[in-house]
Amino acid sequence: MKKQDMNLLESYQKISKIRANRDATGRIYVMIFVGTLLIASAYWLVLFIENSNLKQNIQTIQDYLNSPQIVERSNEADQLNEDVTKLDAILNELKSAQDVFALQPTFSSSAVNLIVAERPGTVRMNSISYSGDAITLDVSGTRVYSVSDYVMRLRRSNAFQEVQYSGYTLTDGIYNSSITIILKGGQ
Amino acid sequence: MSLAIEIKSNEIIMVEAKVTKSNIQVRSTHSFEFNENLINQHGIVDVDNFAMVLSSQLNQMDTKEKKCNVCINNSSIIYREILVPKVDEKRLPFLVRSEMMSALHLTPEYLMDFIPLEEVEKDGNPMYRVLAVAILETAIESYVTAFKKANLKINTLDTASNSIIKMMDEFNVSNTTAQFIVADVQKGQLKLYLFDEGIYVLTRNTRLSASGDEQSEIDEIVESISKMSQYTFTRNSKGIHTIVYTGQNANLLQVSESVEQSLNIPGRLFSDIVKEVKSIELDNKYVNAVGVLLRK
Repeated sequence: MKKQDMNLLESYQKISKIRANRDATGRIYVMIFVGTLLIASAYWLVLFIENSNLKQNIQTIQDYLNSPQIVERSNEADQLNEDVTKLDAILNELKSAQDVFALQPTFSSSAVNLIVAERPGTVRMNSISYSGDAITLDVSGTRVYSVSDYVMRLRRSNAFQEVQYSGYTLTDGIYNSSITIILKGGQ
Repeated sequence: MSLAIEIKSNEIIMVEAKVTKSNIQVRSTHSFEFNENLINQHGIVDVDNFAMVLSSQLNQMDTKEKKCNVCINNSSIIYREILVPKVDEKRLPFLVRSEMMSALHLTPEYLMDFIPLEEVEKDGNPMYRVLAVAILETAIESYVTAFKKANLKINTLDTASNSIIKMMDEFNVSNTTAQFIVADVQKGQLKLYLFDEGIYVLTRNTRLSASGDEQSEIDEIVESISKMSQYTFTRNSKGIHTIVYTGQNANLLQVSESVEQSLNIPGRLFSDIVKEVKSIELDNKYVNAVGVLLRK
């Protein structure tokens, strides 16, 4: 065996070394803790200062916003915004009305020209009247097919919503009839 | 030169000597007594006072040594011979510590060291018989602190038993198969070390009554040696072949004669053996201190 002598000091130094290492480890943990605490404190301080600055800025802005001049301007702006909103609403209503008007059937010269152009020579136009979206033609035909031919031509033109014909009355060899033309919308 | 300091319960022994493998040359010696209450099992009670006294005595000794080997020979140290399984040498300290704590009910505050004495077999298992010592960590700390305050650095902290074992080896006293006793006769204390087959067996401490009467003290010593001698017959029937006397009692020769007359056991002064073996003049008072200068 290598060990042949005694030295209690070695045992003491070993224990002291182990304890010193343990203490050093403990000190490292304490240093890490203290370091972390310091960093956290510094960070907290920075945040605290930033927060204070922000609060101060917010207060300044609030003071600015609460000043009578700004309040008055803000009220004006609110009023303007309200007016603009109302105008927008009116505009929208007008657009809707315009759209409605655009779709409403209208009695125009082109419709009259077509009615005249499609009339056969055997049909005489007695009168023409317009009410709402309907044009009523009071016609007379010299032949039995004259009025129906005229109705068929008008229908074939596809220019009208509907062409209503309900027959004729024969008086003195003249075939009298009434044709109602419903105008198309959006034209 | 090396400085050795033996710390007894009430006395400090200082020896400045040059120790080589072949020779021991003592340059100077010094000793002083102090109050017994200054040292207890917790070490030095008043470190500052002890350091001051030690420093003053070192100046009186006129030594320039700043390092020393210390021999603890007081109540702060506990001895025990124990058997531990023969395991890897690195694990022995743990085993010894565990055995000592278990055997003596010691707390973890005790520091321990040991030296192997012999390999034995118990129940077919190889074992080491070791001499283990234990001392409170606070005690060592008090010694280290006191010596530091006295401007001395401790190189080694040894014990009186180990010192005696080394001295017996050094001067071939152990080189025998016979059973012998080393009687360290101190002021008010007797330490009997039993050796068999050249190997240390055990120590028996006896506190001598402080009657002041020389004859009654000698009678006490004879009685203690007689008890030890009787005890040896519980181990074997060899009996005690011889007794080696050391220590500082002025009446060592008278003790030796009384023991021889009463118990029929011859004795020799250790100083005579030292002179015979290596032609060295060594006072028996300084044997323990010189022993700690021998390092293996």
